[in-house]
Amino acid sequence: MKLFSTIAAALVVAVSAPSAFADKRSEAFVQANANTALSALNDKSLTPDQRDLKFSKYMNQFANMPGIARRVLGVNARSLSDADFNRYYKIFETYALEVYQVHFDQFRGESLRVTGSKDDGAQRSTVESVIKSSQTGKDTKVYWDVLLSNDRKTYRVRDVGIELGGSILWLAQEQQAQFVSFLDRNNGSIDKLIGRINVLLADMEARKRDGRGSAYKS
Amino acid sequence: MTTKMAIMPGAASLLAAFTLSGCLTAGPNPEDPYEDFNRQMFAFNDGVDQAIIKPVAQGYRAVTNEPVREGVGNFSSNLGEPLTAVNHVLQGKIPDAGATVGRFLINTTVGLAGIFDPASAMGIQRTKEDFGQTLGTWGVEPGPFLVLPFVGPTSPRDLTGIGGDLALNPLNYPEFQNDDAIRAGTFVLWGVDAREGALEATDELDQQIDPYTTVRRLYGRTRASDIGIPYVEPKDASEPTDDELDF
Repeated sequence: MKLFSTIAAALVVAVSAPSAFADKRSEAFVQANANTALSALNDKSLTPDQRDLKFSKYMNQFANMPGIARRVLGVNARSLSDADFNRYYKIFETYALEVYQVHFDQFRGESLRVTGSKDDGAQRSTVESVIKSSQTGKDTKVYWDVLLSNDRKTYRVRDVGIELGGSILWLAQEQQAQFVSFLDRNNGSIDKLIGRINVLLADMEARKRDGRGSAYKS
Repeated sequence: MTTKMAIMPGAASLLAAFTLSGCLTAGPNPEDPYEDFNRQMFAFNDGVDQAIIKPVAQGYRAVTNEPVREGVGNFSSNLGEPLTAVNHVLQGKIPDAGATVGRFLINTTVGLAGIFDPASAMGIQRTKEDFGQTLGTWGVEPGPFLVLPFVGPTSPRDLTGIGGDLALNPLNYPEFQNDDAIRAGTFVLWGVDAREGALEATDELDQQIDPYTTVRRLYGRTRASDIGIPYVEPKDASEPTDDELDF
């Protein structure tokens, strides 16, 4: 009986051990996908539009875009109907990918090296990586908040933290601060938020057309 | 400028820093208790910038080339070196103070009044310290975020710092003919040069969903970094929702 209890307890510990998640799989997921996204930005055989498309495709496989779209709304997400969310998501995705592209663009042509990871729960971990600048030789640390899906088969990035001047800038958290603040000051109106994103997207498009490039940088 | 005139703005700034937060009505946001006031001032400053300061900076860029602007930037920065040296001393960084004094002497003489920067070429790199940073290294907390007309983003600590800088800057004390006009002229030159250098950054700001929130968060982060306090924003501690894990 005692032996049975011991085996049962060991089984429970083995099944519930959180260290099972921060394994080589989440690190390999970041290593492969981040470098694929970075190489897409540096693919000189593509036109700028084709590059955008390729980057967007990779990012959609890499990041949990609908989850990020919902999270940056904060508590406002709870009261959103599916129809409103879909309307908002359509332009959020375009806007967020544009923003991420500019952030990643600073690492164009560089490669990322995963240096480790740690568990943050049964389905969440932080993967740490370094991008070395080939020009300055300087390392930039990049952190990845990685989720494991409910069916335990797929990984997706929830947020990206870039080390800047001694601090870490978490992109989705930064967006959340702005989105929530904007909604708070506009009675939670998703239409006003959609309007604001549309204005920014139009400006980004205009900048691309006249060759000024995106002004959005960290 | 007389000694009295140098100290007066400092004292006024100090007084403003201590009384401002008492005069304003705190709002519900603990991270930004004076948000309503700040946003009004932010809009005011933006209006002044769009109407006057930005066009002047754009005009300055249009009529000058990069070497000229670099010379002006070097000249302005060189005038800030004595203040940096004083703040290094107040922070106990004596070797840095010595290096900054060395920079000032080299650039003022060999660098033709600071227009050129031979000190950097000699490996003496520029550092920048102000009294707000000094107060920070002494452990003074920044206090609530503030935006003031013409001053921009600040905090009671940094507003006190501005006053302290005016009073501590050795270059504010010598008296000579037309000293006030010359100091006002160099201040305007410094302002135009600084605004020109920030043209792209403010364009980026316009691309944000809520530029005010960006400035507030950036200000706290930048000042902490200037002081040497690690500003490591923790990863979002909230548990992922079921929606987030359903992919």
